[in-house]
Amino acid sequence: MSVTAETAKAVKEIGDKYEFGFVTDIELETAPKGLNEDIVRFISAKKNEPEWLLNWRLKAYAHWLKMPEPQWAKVKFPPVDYQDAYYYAAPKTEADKPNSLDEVDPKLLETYEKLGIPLKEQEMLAGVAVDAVFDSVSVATTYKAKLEEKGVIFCSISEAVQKYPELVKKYLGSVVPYGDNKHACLNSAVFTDGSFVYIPRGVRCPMELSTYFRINAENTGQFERTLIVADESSYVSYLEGCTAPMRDENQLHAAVVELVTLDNAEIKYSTVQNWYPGDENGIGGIYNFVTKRGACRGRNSKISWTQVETGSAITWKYPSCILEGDDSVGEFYSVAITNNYQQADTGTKMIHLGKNTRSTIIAKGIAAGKSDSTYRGQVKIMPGGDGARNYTQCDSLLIGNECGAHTVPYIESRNPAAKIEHEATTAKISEDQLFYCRQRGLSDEEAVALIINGFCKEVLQQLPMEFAVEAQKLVGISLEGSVG
Amino acid sequence: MVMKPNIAHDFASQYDEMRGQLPGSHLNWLQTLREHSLNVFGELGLPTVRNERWRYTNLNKIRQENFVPASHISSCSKITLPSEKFTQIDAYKIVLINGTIIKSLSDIDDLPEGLKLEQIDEIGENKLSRLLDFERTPMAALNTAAFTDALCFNIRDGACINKPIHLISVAETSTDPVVFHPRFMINAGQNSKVTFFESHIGAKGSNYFSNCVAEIELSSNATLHHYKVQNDHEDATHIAASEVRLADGSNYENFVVTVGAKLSRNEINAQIIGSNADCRLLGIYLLNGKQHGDHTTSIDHAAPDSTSHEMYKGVLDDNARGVFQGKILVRKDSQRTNGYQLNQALLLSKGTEVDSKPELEIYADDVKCSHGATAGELDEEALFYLRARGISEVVARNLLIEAFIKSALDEISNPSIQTTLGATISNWLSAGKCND
Repeated sequence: MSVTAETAKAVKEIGDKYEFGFVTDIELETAPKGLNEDIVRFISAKKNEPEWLLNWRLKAYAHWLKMPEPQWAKVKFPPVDYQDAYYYAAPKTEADKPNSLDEVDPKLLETYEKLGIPLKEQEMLAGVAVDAVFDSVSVATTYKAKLEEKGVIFCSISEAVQKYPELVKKYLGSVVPYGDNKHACLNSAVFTDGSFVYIPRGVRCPMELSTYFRINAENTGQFERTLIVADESSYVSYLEGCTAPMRDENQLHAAVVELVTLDNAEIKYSTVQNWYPGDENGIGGIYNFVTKRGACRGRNSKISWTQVETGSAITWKYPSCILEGDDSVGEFYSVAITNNYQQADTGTKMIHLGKNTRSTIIAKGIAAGKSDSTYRGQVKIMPGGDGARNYTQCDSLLIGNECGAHTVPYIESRNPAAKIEHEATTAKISEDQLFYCRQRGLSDEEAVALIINGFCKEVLQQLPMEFAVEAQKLVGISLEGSVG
Repeated sequence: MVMKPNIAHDFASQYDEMRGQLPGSHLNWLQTLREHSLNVFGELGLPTVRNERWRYTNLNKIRQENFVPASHISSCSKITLPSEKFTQIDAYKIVLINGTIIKSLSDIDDLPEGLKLEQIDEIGENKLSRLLDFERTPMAALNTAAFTDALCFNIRDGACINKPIHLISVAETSTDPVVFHPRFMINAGQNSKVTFFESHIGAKGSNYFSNCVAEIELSSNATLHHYKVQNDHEDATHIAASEVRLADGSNYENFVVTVGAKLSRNEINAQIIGSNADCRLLGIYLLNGKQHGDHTTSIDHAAPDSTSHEMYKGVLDDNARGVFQGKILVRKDSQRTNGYQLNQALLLSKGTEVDSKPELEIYADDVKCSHGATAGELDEEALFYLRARGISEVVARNLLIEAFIKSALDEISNPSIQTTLGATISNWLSAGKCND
């Protein structure tokens, strides 16, 4: 694959404007602005939820009121006015869901097309089932039949609550309890939709599952809730990608993702996050406060997180693995790119409880403009983690002298039979590398895009093919204007 | 666990009462400074684990104990330690007992030209506490309010002190657990060169709390080699904070060996304000039993073209816990900074714990900064290799541990000090603990 040509073209295609900055005009059925117990009840009632779930939401809400905002991250932003946002917005089509893509609101389809996701064609071409979340309610799900044949459940979480209440009840909140942190707590109280995946015992999911998220209504916080359960000896690869339209108001995005793997199961979770980062003066942009955590409950199970974070004004995100089962494996591959006034505080937690558990952390941070990029990670080996192994590598790259790159690892071992290795470096693109590229006829921006792509290669190659291409483009786009 | 919530006020009220009796009470500036420090400490209180800088070190041991301020009057007559403790190295000795200088045991009148020792009456206003930030080091506020003697070592411009200065802090205690506050300053003049050696020892059967503060300033092109052996009594608490400021072209090398105290913390905050300076913070910690040893450093690169180098190696046995927190801050205009940081811990038994937090905060792009951290047990294969050649397990283990430590020891520039510290370490290994 020719990275240079691909990226150079991508960079050229992008003008001064954010590519995905447009607003689709669809009538919304919205709850009034603000947050109170009634809103929580409204959301629950709208979704026709069972009582246990409503009670869970209410407990979360009551807890949220008391919880302090997390202060430890290296990000600065004015306090969020929780009362100045809508907590429920559904496309009008919700009342009667379409049976096929043909019935989907053409405006929605148009939106996806602009995003480069031809939903109709995807079915045939990409072999990817799409549970597309438009604002908060899933409007189209494809390939359901094929998945059902294998016994794979892939639907919106609201649908799962109706259809598979026992599964949802068993696993929801079991990895990220509602009181985990303020943002997860808020999500538990007001989550509107998200994806639910269940892979039955012994099944290898026949295709990559993918959800495209999109914030669309003005002032609508996005509170996605994703729950993926891989039963014994099953495998699934899940893709999550985000783009959002341009606007000035800061938007709150507090998603929760919970993964559970049982014996010998594996979940591969890949994200390309490209929410609107704000303009070059730092106005607007998404507040992305995400709680992602996976529990390797079973022996020899595996959870692998790969993320490419290029968007959002503020990223607060720590996809983690709790390695409970003996011989379980956790992986975290991350590229975080910040430009202009973006702030990213992201990393992972690897908690080793079981014997011979292994984890790998590869984190690449790139800061340009006036941005700040922080890697914050924890590796913790508990006394039971005999033979546990961790390898961590964090590299940061600074572009320009007004940005900051920081590394804050917490390395805690309570087991002598565990082995931990951590290394981190911070540097800039060397003049020699640039000179070499320019000498071969590349422009400054092409050269930087090429070098950065090389810097991130270890992570990008973990992505599934479709994402890898998109991610490489994004790397170039995100750093646009930061050189020269 | 029952904690005394108002421990800070306990200390505060004790020292408030005795302020009039502390040395220098006739100096107005000092009275003001002490009063201010005490107020600040009263407000900040003893740091808790909620304080990010104290995340891994719990001071409940201090909260639970009723420490009384060491009386500085009668300590002279109570020396129980054998005199060879004071003559380990050929140096200009300064002996402190419970934080108070003992002139009869110190070479105070034989100091060489170029070295001037000032005590509280001579130090003068606005010099003491200049480098301290009480918000960052609350325990230094308590020290400032409560120290008995403050010693200021001034090294004249261009002076090269032929022998090391050896500061020996001895704890002599009676029945009550005591608290004392060693305090010193080093001002290394331009182009001067000096070696400073600190020893901390305690008499047998004593429980005490030693709260040390050092303020160290290096003028242009000064070289200061600063070594410290903390071999306090196994029941003791040792909390030390050093604030270091480096001017352009200066060279600061700090090496600490931590073997003593039940609870210890050695904190070094270095600020590099000139270019072409070199700051080296090194150390070894050997802990067993229920010892807790914390090494916290921060290096603030506030000027371009300087380098910093850190290496801490720890060996933990039994239920010991080692903590390393290191931070390198590179400010916006500190281009071409070179920073390196390494912490390695060897865990010898179940029940040990190591916590590392090597942190980089970087705002300049043309820098080279890196850090590494490892934790693990002895290499089984290496052990097998040695044992297969007829070496007993104990010897083989000690060989491997020595080899592990050696790379840190090799960083010491002064060869004779390297030998002295090497001996301390060998002693610890052969006895399972340091008994020198």
